[in-house]
Amino acid sequence: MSSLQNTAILSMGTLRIAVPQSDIVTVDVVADARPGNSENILCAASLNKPTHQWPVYAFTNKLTPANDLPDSCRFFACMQISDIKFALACDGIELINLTEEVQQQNLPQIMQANETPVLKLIKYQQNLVIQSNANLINRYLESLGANNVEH
Amino acid sequence: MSNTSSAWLIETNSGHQFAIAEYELIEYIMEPERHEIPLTPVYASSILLWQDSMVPVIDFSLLINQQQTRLTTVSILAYQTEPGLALNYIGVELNRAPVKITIEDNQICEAQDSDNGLWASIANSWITHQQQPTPIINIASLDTAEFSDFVKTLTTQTNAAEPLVKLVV
Repeated sequence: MSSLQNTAILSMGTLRIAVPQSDIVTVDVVADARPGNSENILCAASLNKPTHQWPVYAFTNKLTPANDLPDSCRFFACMQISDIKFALACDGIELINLTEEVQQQNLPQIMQANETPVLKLIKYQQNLVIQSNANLINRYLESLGANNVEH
Repeated sequence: MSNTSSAWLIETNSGHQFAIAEYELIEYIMEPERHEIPLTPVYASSILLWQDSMVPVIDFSLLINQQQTRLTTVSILAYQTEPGLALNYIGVELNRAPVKITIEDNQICEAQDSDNGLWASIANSWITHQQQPTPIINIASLDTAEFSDFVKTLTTQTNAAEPLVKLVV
Protein backbone atom coordinates (compact mmCIF):
# COMPACT_ATOMS: atom_id res chain seq x y z
CA MET A 1 0.00 0.00 0.00
CA SER A 2 1.35 3.38 -0.96
CA SER A 3 2.24 5.70 1.87
CA LEU A 4 1.32 8.68 -0.28
CA GLN A 5 -1.62 10.73 0.79
CA ASN A 6 -4.30 9.86 -1.71
CA THR A 7 -7.45 11.51 -0.42
CA ALA A 8 -8.45 15.07 0.35
CA ILE A 9 -11.10 15.80 2.98
CA LEU A 10 -12.86 19.05 2.21
CA SER A 11 -14.49 20.73 5.19
CA MET A 12 -17.60 22.79 4.56
CA GLY A 13 -19.13 23.78 7.87
CA THR A 14 -20.01 20.51 9.57
CA LEU A 15 -20.00 18.69 6.24
CA ARG A 16 -16.90 16.74 5.28
CA ILE A 17 -16.43 15.34 1.80
CA ALA A 18 -13.55 13.07 0.87
CA VAL A 19 -12.47 13.08 -2.76
CA PRO A 20 -9.48 11.51 -4.50
CA GLN A 21 -6.60 13.92 -4.32
CA SER A 22 -6.00 13.32 -8.02
CA ASP A 23 -9.39 14.91 -8.80
CA ILE A 24 -8.13 18.22 -7.46
CA VAL A 25 -5.95 20.08 -9.92
CA THR A 26 -5.27 23.17 -7.85
CA VAL A 27 -6.20 24.70 -4.53
CA ASP A 28 -6.69 28.43 -4.59
CA VAL A 29 -7.01 30.73 -1.64
CA VAL A 30 -10.09 32.89 -1.65
CA ALA A 31 -8.99 36.08 -3.31
CA ASP A 32 -9.87 36.46 -6.94
CA ALA A 33 -13.43 35.23 -6.72
CA ARG A 34 -16.40 37.32 -7.66
CA PRO A 35 -19.84 36.63 -6.22
CA GLY A 36 -22.30 34.66 -8.32
CA ASN A 37 -22.19 33.69 -11.94
CA SER A 38 -24.78 35.08 -14.30
CA GLU A 39 -24.68 31.94 -16.45
CA ASN A 40 -25.08 29.52 -13.58
CA ILE A 41 -27.44 30.37 -10.75
CA LEU A 42 -26.21 27.44 -8.65
CA CYS A 43 -22.79 29.03 -8.35
CA ALA A 44 -21.81 30.95 -5.28
CA ALA A 45 -18.92 32.64 -7.09
CA SER A 46 -16.65 32.58 -10.08
CA LEU A 47 -12.93 32.10 -9.99
CA ASN A 48 -10.95 33.99 -12.59
CA LYS A 49 -8.11 32.00 -14.07
CA PRO A 50 -5.94 33.20 -16.96
CA THR A 51 -7.67 30.97 -19.49
CA HIS A 52 -11.00 30.23 -17.97
CA GLN A 53 -13.58 31.30 -15.45
CA TRP A 54 -14.26 28.48 -13.00
CA PRO A 55 -17.71 28.13 -11.47
CA VAL A 56 -17.44 27.87 -7.69
CA TYR A 57 -20.02 25.93 -5.69
CA ALA A 58 -20.56 26.22 -1.97
CA PHE A 59 -22.46 23.40 -0.30
CA THR A 60 -24.66 23.69 2.75
CA ASN A 61 -24.52 21.05 5.48
CA LYS A 62 -27.30 19.32 3.54
CA LEU A 63 -25.16 19.17 0.42
CA THR A 64 -27.33 21.62 -1.47
CA PRO A 65 -25.71 24.48 -3.36
CA ALA A 66 -25.64 27.74 -1.42
CA ASN A 67 -26.11 31.09 -3.12
CA ASP A 68 -23.25 32.78 -1.33
CA LEU A 69 -19.79 31.92 -0.17
CA PRO A 70 -19.85 31.34 3.58
CA ASP A 71 -17.69 33.61 5.71
CA SER A 72 -15.72 30.56 6.78
CA CYS A 73 -14.65 29.79 3.20
CA ARG A 74 -10.87 29.98 2.79
CA PHE A 75 -10.05 27.74 -0.17
CA PHE A 76 -11.31 26.69 -3.54
CA ALA A 77 -10.64 23.08 -4.49
CA CYS A 78 -10.52 23.17 -8.28
CA MET A 79 -11.58 19.94 -9.93
CA GLN A 80 -11.28 18.87 -13.51
CA ILE A 81 -12.50 15.91 -15.54
CA SER A 82 -11.53 16.35 -19.18
CA ASP A 83 -13.37 19.51 -20.28
CA ILE A 84 -15.44 19.79 -17.10
CA LYS A 85 -14.11 22.28 -14.60
CA PHE A 86 -15.53 23.48 -11.35
CA ALA A 87 -14.40 24.42 -7.87
CA LEU A 88 -15.77 23.69 -4.43
CA ALA A 89 -15.59 26.28 -1.69
CA CYS A 90 -14.27 24.87 1.55
CA ASP A 91 -13.15 25.97 4.98
CA GLY A 92 -10.23 23.57 5.10
CA ILE A 93 -8.54 20.74 3.26
CA GLU A 94 -6.87 17.80 4.94
CA LEU A 95 -4.86 15.23 3.06
CA ILE A 96 -5.03 11.68 4.36
CA ASN A 97 -3.94 8.28 3.24
CA LEU A 98 -7.11 6.27 2.82
CA THR A 99 -5.82 2.80 3.54
CA GLU A 100 -7.71 -0.31 4.54
CA GLU A 101 -7.11 0.64 8.15
CA VAL A 102 -9.43 3.62 7.77
CA GLN A 103 -12.92 2.32 8.37
CA GLN A 104 -15.12 2.78 5.32
CA GLN A 105 -18.21 1.21 3.85
CA ASN A 106 -20.52 1.67 0.92
CA LEU A 107 -23.58 3.81 1.45
CA PRO A 108 -26.14 1.28 2.75
CA GLN A 109 -28.70 0.23 0.18
CA ILE A 110 -31.55 1.65 2.23
CA MET A 111 -29.89 5.08 2.12
CA GLN A 112 -29.38 5.11 -1.63
CA ALA A 113 -31.05 7.77 -3.74
CA ASN A 114 -30.64 8.42 -7.43
CA GLU A 115 -29.54 11.96 -6.94
CA THR A 116 -26.84 11.36 -4.39
CA PRO A 117 -23.14 11.89 -5.09
CA VAL A 118 -22.34 9.99 -1.88
CA LEU A 119 -20.38 6.86 -2.69
CA LYS A 120 -19.14 5.64 0.66
CA LEU A 121 -19.05 6.57 4.31
CA ILE A 122 -15.74 6.92 6.11
CA LYS A 123 -15.22 6.95 9.84
CA TYR A 124 -12.36 9.32 10.42
CA GLN A 125 -11.35 10.63 13.82
CA GLN A 126 -14.71 9.67 15.32
CA ASN A 127 -16.59 11.62 12.67
CA LEU A 128 -18.41 10.59 9.56
CA VAL A 129 -17.02 11.74 6.25
CA ILE A 130 -18.88 11.18 3.02
CA GLN A 131 -16.80 9.95 0.12
CA SER A 132 -17.43 11.13 -3.41
CA ASN A 133 -15.42 12.16 -6.44
CA ALA A 134 -15.37 14.92 -9.02
CA ASN A 135 -17.38 12.91 -11.52
CA LEU A 136 -20.21 12.15 -9.08
CA ILE A 137 -20.29 15.70 -7.78
CA ASN A 138 -20.44 17.04 -11.33
CA ARG A 139 -23.27 14.65 -12.20
CA TYR A 140 -25.13 15.75 -9.09
CA LEU A 141 -24.65 19.42 -9.99
CA GLU A 142 -25.76 18.72 -13.55
CA SER A 143 -28.91 17.03 -12.23
CA LEU A 144 -29.65 20.33 -10.50
CA GLY A 145 -29.13 22.27 -13.72
CA ALA A 146 -25.46 23.22 -13.62
CA ASN A 147 -23.28 23.18 -16.70
CA ASN A 148 -19.59 22.94 -15.92
CA VAL A 149 -18.33 22.17 -19.40
CA GLU A 150 -15.65 24.60 -20.46
CA HIS A 151 -16.79 26.80 -23.32
CA MET B 1 -47.70 -30.45 21.88
CA SER B 2 -46.62 -27.32 20.02
CA ASN B 3 -43.07 -26.03 19.62
CA THR B 4 -42.13 -22.75 21.26
CA SER B 5 -39.38 -20.28 20.52
CA SER B 6 -38.22 -17.01 22.04
CA ALA B 7 -38.44 -13.74 20.16
CA TRP B 8 -38.37 -10.01 20.69
CA LEU B 9 -41.38 -7.84 20.04
CA ILE B 10 -40.27 -4.50 18.61
CA GLU B 11 -42.56 -1.47 18.63
CA THR B 12 -41.35 1.07 16.10
CA ASN B 13 -41.77 4.81 16.53
CA SER B 14 -44.67 4.55 14.08
CA GLY B 15 -46.55 2.45 16.64
CA HIS B 16 -46.30 -0.72 14.56
CA GLN B 17 -45.07 -3.96 16.03
CA PHE B 18 -43.00 -6.73 14.56
CA ALA B 19 -41.18 -9.73 15.94
CA ILE B 20 -37.63 -10.90 15.36
CA ALA B 21 -35.71 -13.94 16.47
CA GLU B 22 -34.18 -13.69 19.91
CA TYR B 23 -30.60 -13.67 18.65
CA GLU B 24 -31.22 -10.84 16.18
CA LEU B 25 -31.57 -8.08 18.78
CA ILE B 26 -28.09 -6.92 19.70
CA GLU B 27 -28.50 -3.74 21.68
CA TYR B 28 -31.05 -1.21 22.87
CA ILE B 29 -29.62 2.31 23.00
CA MET B 30 -31.09 5.32 24.75
CA GLU B 31 -30.69 8.61 22.89
CA PRO B 32 -27.78 7.70 20.64
CA GLU B 33 -25.99 10.35 18.61
CA ARG B 34 -27.26 10.20 15.05
CA HIS B 35 -25.17 11.46 12.16
CA GLU B 36 -27.28 12.85 9.33
CA ILE B 37 -26.20 11.89 5.83
CA PRO B 38 -27.33 14.39 3.20
CA LEU B 39 -29.34 13.43 0.13
CA THR B 40 -30.72 10.21 1.58
CA PRO B 41 -34.35 9.13 1.93
CA VAL B 42 -35.92 10.84 4.95
CA TYR B 43 -36.80 7.51 6.56
CA ALA B 44 -33.18 6.37 6.45
CA SER B 45 -31.12 9.51 6.73
CA SER B 46 -28.94 8.87 9.75
CA ILE B 47 -26.04 6.69 10.81
CA LEU B 48 -25.01 5.55 14.26
CA LEU B 49 -21.33 5.08 15.00
CA TRP B 50 -21.75 1.97 17.08
CA GLN B 51 -18.80 -0.06 18.23
CA ASP B 52 -16.81 -0.56 15.01
CA SER B 53 -19.76 -0.22 12.69
CA MET B 54 -21.58 2.50 10.82
CA VAL B 55 -25.21 1.52 11.29
CA PRO B 56 -28.05 2.95 9.17
CA VAL B 57 -31.20 3.74 11.14
CA ILE B 58 -34.76 3.30 9.85
CA ASP B 59 -37.45 5.69 10.98
CA PHE B 60 -40.74 3.87 10.39
CA SER B 61 -42.73 6.89 11.49
CA LEU B 62 -41.40 8.86 8.55
CA LEU B 63 -41.69 5.85 6.26
CA ILE B 64 -45.32 5.00 7.05
CA ASN B 65 -46.90 7.97 8.78
CA GLN B 66 -44.72 10.64 7.16
CA GLN B 67 -44.47 12.28 10.54
CA GLN B 68 -41.41 13.07 12.53
CA THR B 69 -41.62 11.83 16.09
CA ARG B 70 -39.34 12.60 18.98
CA LEU B 71 -36.36 10.32 18.57
CA THR B 72 -35.18 8.71 21.76
CA THR B 73 -34.25 5.06 21.47
CA VAL B 74 -32.85 2.75 18.85
CA SER B 75 -32.54 -1.01 18.66
CA ILE B 76 -29.54 -2.44 16.85
CA LEU B 77 -30.57 -5.52 14.90
CA ALA B 78 -28.16 -7.97 13.31
CA TYR B 79 -28.48 -9.99 10.15
CA GLN B 80 -26.43 -12.02 7.71
CA THR B 81 -26.86 -11.89 3.98
CA GLU B 82 -25.47 -15.42 3.71
CA PRO B 83 -24.50 -18.03 6.29
CA GLY B 84 -20.87 -17.73 7.27
CA LEU B 85 -20.54 -14.07 6.29
CA ALA B 86 -19.93 -11.28 8.78
CA LEU B 87 -22.88 -9.78 10.61
CA ASN B 88 -24.46 -6.62 9.30
CA TYR B 89 -26.37 -4.22 11.50
CA ILE B 90 -29.36 -1.97 11.10
CA GLY B 91 -31.01 0.34 13.61
CA VAL B 92 -34.72 0.91 14.15
CA GLU B 93 -36.21 3.92 15.89
CA LEU B 94 -38.47 2.72 18.71
CA ASN B 95 -41.42 3.81 20.80
CA ARG B 96 -40.44 1.70 23.77
CA ALA B 97 -38.06 -0.99 24.89
CA PRO B 98 -38.30 -4.36 23.11
CA VAL B 99 -40.34 -6.99 24.92
CA LYS B 100 -39.35 -10.62 25.07
CA ILE B 101 -42.11 -12.98 24.01
CA THR B 102 -42.61 -16.68 23.47
CA ILE B 103 -44.06 -17.81 20.19
CA GLU B 104 -45.92 -21.06 19.80
CA ASP B 105 -46.66 -22.81 16.55
CA ASN B 106 -50.38 -22.31 16.99
CA GLN B 107 -49.90 -18.53 16.84
CA ILE B 108 -48.98 -18.69 13.15
CA CYS B 109 -51.55 -16.87 11.08
CA GLU B 110 -52.24 -15.68 7.54
CA ALA B 111 -50.15 -12.92 6.01
CA GLN B 112 -51.74 -9.48 6.21
CA ASP B 113 -51.77 -6.71 3.67
CA SER B 114 -51.67 -3.72 6.00
CA ASP B 115 -49.82 -0.51 5.19
CA ASN B 116 -49.98 -1.18 1.45
CA GLY B 117 -48.19 -4.48 1.85
CA LEU B 118 -45.14 -2.94 3.47
CA TRP B 119 -44.92 -5.50 6.27
CA ALA B 120 -45.81 -8.39 3.99
CA SER B 121 -42.85 -7.40 1.81
CA ILE B 122 -40.39 -7.97 4.63
CA ALA B 123 -42.16 -10.66 6.67
CA ASN B 124 -41.00 -14.25 6.86
CA SER B 125 -44.24 -15.26 8.55
CA TRP B 126 -47.02 -13.89 10.72
CA ILE B 127 -48.24 -14.63 14.22
CA THR B 128 -51.22 -13.54 16.24
CA HIS B 129 -49.95 -11.73 19.30
CA GLN B 130 -52.44 -10.26 21.75
CA GLN B 131 -55.15 -10.64 19.11
CA GLN B 132 -53.09 -8.64 16.60
CA PRO B 133 -51.51 -10.05 13.44
CA THR B 134 -47.81 -9.39 13.85
CA PRO B 135 -45.12 -9.96 11.23
CA ILE B 136 -41.92 -11.82 11.98
CA ILE B 137 -39.63 -9.88 9.75
CA ASN B 138 -36.57 -10.77 7.75
CA ILE B 139 -34.17 -8.03 8.84
CA ALA B 140 -31.84 -8.53 5.90
CA SER B 141 -34.66 -7.59 3.53
CA LEU B 142 -34.71 -4.04 4.93
CA ASP B 143 -31.36 -3.24 3.36
CA THR B 144 -32.03 -4.49 -0.14
CA ALA B 145 -32.68 -2.85 -3.47
CA GLU B 146 -36.00 -4.73 -3.59
CA PHE B 147 -37.18 -3.06 -0.40
CA SER B 148 -36.01 0.35 -1.56
CA ASP B 149 -37.83 -0.16 -4.86
CA PHE B 150 -40.92 -1.33 -3.04
CA VAL B 151 -40.96 1.81 -0.91
CA LYS B 152 -40.77 3.87 -4.09
CA THR B 153 -43.82 2.06 -5.46
CA LEU B 154 -45.71 3.00 -2.31
CA THR B 155 -45.23 6.62 -3.27
CA THR B 156 -47.11 6.13 -6.51
CA GLN B 157 -49.77 3.93 -4.89
CA THR B 158 -50.60 6.44 -2.22
CA ASN B 159 -50.12 9.42 -4.54
CA ALA B 160 -49.25 11.29 -1.40
CA ALA B 161 -48.85 15.03 -1.43
CA GLU B 162 -45.74 14.47 0.65
CA PRO B 163 -43.88 11.58 -0.98
CA LEU B 164 -42.66 8.75 1.19
CA VAL B 165 -39.29 8.95 -0.47
CA LYS B 166 -38.18 12.50 -0.32
CA LEU B 167 -34.65 13.54 0.09
CA VAL B 168 -33.15 15.21 3.11
CA VAL B 169 -32.28 18.66 1.86
